[in-house]
Amino acid sequence: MLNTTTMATPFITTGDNPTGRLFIFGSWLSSPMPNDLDLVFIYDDCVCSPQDAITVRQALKECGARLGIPAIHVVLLSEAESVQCGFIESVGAVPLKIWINEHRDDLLRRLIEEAEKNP
Amino acid sequence: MPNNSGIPSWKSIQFFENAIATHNAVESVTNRGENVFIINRKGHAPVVVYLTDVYTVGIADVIDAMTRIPDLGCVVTISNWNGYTQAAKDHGVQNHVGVFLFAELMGALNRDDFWAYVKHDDDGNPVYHYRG
Repeated sequence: MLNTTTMATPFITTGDNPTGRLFIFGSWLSSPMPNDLDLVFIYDDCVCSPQDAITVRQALKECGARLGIPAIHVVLLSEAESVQCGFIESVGAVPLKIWINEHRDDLLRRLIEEAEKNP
Repeated sequence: MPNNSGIPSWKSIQFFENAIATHNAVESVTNRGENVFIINRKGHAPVVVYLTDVYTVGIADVIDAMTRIPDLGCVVTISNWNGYTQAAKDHGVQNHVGVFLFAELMGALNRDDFWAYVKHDDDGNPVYHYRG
């Protein structure tokens, strides 16, 4: 059983600077053969501008395409926007690295490794 | 259900073009490609619309669209169950870019300052589609 509230949440990093938290939601969590991958990147706008968040989204999409993931959709929200709209709770999103560890999802592990190298 | 892709389906685009064309203030609609449409209005300036189906339009989406589309007038997320954040809405208004659901766009097209359009309920209270 996933515990999304008490475990540390993951970061996408630019160099040594954590820039945001990445969560997964949608059909990837429930379907054995999902058609697409839905992610939400919650960025800290003290260290990550909206433009930087767009770059992270682009990196995830490009890395995903290289890895053969057909469609990656990334919602971008600042921490303030996320809190205000309660997005994580409303869609039942799960921290991505927790999902990867619990489900030994090597494809998504490679996606994150690639994206962290090249955000 | 929302498709979360951010890319409107072919059916959504068809719906958008057909519905906009029936608006009293609209003369014609031109598809400029890549989900950008020019709405030519009667007696008002044209409005350039970026159509999306993103579940929640955030400020980053608005900035991204403004960067890619210099003459942008509106970001419209097509599905009724979609929404936007207050920060996205506010940033848009400050830059004369409307951030709307489709139904709101239909109201906005009657105005010169379309970006500032806000729908009101029967009691006169403003209605926003902030997610959450």
